[in-house]
Amino acid sequence: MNINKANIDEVLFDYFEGNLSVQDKLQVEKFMGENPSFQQDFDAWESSFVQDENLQFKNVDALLANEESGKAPWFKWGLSSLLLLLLSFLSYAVYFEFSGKKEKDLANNGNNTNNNSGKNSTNGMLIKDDAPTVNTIVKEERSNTEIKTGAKATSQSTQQISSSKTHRVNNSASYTESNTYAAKNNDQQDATNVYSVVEDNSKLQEITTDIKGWSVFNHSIVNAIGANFSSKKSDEMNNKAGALELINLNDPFVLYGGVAPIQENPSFAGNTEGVRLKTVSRWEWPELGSASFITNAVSIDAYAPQVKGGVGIVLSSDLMGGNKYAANGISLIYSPKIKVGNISIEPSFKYGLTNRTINWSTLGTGDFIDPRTGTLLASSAVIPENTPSSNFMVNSFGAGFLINHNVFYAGFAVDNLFSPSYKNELFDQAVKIPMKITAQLGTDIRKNAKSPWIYSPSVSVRNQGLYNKVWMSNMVRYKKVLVGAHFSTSDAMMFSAGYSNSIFRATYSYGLSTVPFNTNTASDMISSHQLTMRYIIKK
Amino acid sequence: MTTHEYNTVVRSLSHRLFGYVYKSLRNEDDSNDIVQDSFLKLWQNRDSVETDKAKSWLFTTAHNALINFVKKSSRMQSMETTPYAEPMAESSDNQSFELKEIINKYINTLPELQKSILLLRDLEGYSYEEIGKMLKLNESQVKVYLFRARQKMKDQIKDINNLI
Repeated sequence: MNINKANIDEVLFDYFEGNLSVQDKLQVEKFMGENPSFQQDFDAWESSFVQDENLQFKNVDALLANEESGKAPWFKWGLSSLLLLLLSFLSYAVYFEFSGKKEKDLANNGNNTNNNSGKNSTNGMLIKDDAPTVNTIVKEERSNTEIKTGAKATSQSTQQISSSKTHRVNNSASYTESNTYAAKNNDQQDATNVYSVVEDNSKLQEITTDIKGWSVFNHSIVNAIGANFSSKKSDEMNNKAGALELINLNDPFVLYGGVAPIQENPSFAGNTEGVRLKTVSRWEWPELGSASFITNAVSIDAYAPQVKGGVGIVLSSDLMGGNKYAANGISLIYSPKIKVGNISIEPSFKYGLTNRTINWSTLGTGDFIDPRTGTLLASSAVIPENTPSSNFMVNSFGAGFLINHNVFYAGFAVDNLFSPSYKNELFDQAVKIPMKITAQLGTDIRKNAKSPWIYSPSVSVRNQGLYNKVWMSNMVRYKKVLVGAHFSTSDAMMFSAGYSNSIFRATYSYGLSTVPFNTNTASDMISSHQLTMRYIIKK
Repeated sequence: MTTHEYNTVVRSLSHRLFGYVYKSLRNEDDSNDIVQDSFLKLWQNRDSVETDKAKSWLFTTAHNALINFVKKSSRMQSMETTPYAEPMAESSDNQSFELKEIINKYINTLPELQKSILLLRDLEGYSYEEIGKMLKLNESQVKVYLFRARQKMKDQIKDINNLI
């Protein structure tokens, strides 16, 4: 390479650009040593490079998209509103379809019960004569008042029955006053009382009709255990082999959508950046004192690239009615993520192992009323001999499906697939757990990526056994502050407030439910408290 | 590009993109706006932008935004008769400037295309080929423009050194 005054600039440019071979570089350095007059040019060329100052952009957070719900800022307000509207209508339609069916079933069951009663009239059951009256009252009640509220409805219907049939006044009153659904002193019932109870079966049906759908049946397994232990005691009512049946099981469930996503739908597992740790603590109906409901759950989930999906684990503890019935379990989740265009299709699979405990010694008569028919399935708490409590280990399987789009997410999940049953050496009848079906739809609405306001509406639908409910949830986030209002289709509402950043979130929610039965509480509303916390460990 | 990938790009490139834009404009507010607009466009086009191409896509977008911004600023300058960049004579009078500051000042005297090539090369380490693809030039053109830019910088630095 020839180096001279005419080409020294090109040569030095290539030298500092790294365009020269090693030999050429050595030649340049030798030239510079022999020609110090070019040293100034050499230094100036060396200094002509722009230095990186490691400048920091201060508004990184404003550019980040919301990953937790799998969505991000977008502009299609119209589309999301339409979707939500559609789902709302669908949800309500499904809900009322279920309700209608239940009422129809109830009426049929009522007739069946009466027919059975007729057949068994020789046993002293007096239901037959009352059947027309009862049915009439039921009709009138429904036509006059579609849905009644809690204790008032119960009281009113009881009064009507009582006025029509004087000889039942005492029985009805005693049922109501002694808190029908948490009756005590069952051990004192003798055979006569059994028939008295059966005699009142029609009233129970009436009462149950009026309060059907309220939380007492929806929430409490112990108020809905239809126990009929044919192996231990004959069935006085139907004279046939019965089954220990969990008629209205209600698995632990957060009270509105989005609080604990992977418990609602396992397909949400792995949809955050990093490892998500979430806790939910819920205390329902503290007004009931020791009979309140306490639920705690902890979940951990993350996206695992090795298996191209989300994995999660959920630990949950649910104490119902002051530990009358408890369910403590662990669930394992896997949710592969399949990207098709701008949609992420996310199926999921769940396996759960749950220890369910029934504390027989604490159950009352009200715990043995079939909420579908009002039938008292056992005249008293048929406590298995020498068994103060029973433990069952239950295997269950679940599945979920989620479509995660930039605009919205929509999915459904099924828990307790195949309605798992379990047996115990004390009972020869299987105990079945109703399948649980949930569906979710939601979105984030944000004016643009810089907007500090995010509105997150969602709809959550749930069916398990007799339990049907639709929650409409509205969360608004302004920078790091969260507020929300959530309403269910029947009897509950919740209000929430919290703090949230990209790592930590804490939300407290206060709920109100209509008093579903005679709780001896002064207020017409009873409360619930819920605290949720989320922590994300960044990768 | 998924939401997660988009966020990863934001975290890894927003500072570098800001450095590139700020070196051109020397104005924090204007630089913030261009960076935010570039990422907003990336988000809007995330379905068509592959993650491994996001960096060059962003820098190309920011370069185009810079060109438009400077054109707009030039029109404003002619109306207000206020030059956007300080005249070099003023800055060269102050001999206390550190070399880094001097270079930053000199960068603004370069034509926009030369400035972008210089910054993409020095700050981001792009090859001639990569810069060519981003700015729609061939490699030879990139090298020529880069040489001219450096030569101007070198001449200015040499003059300052002589004054000192």
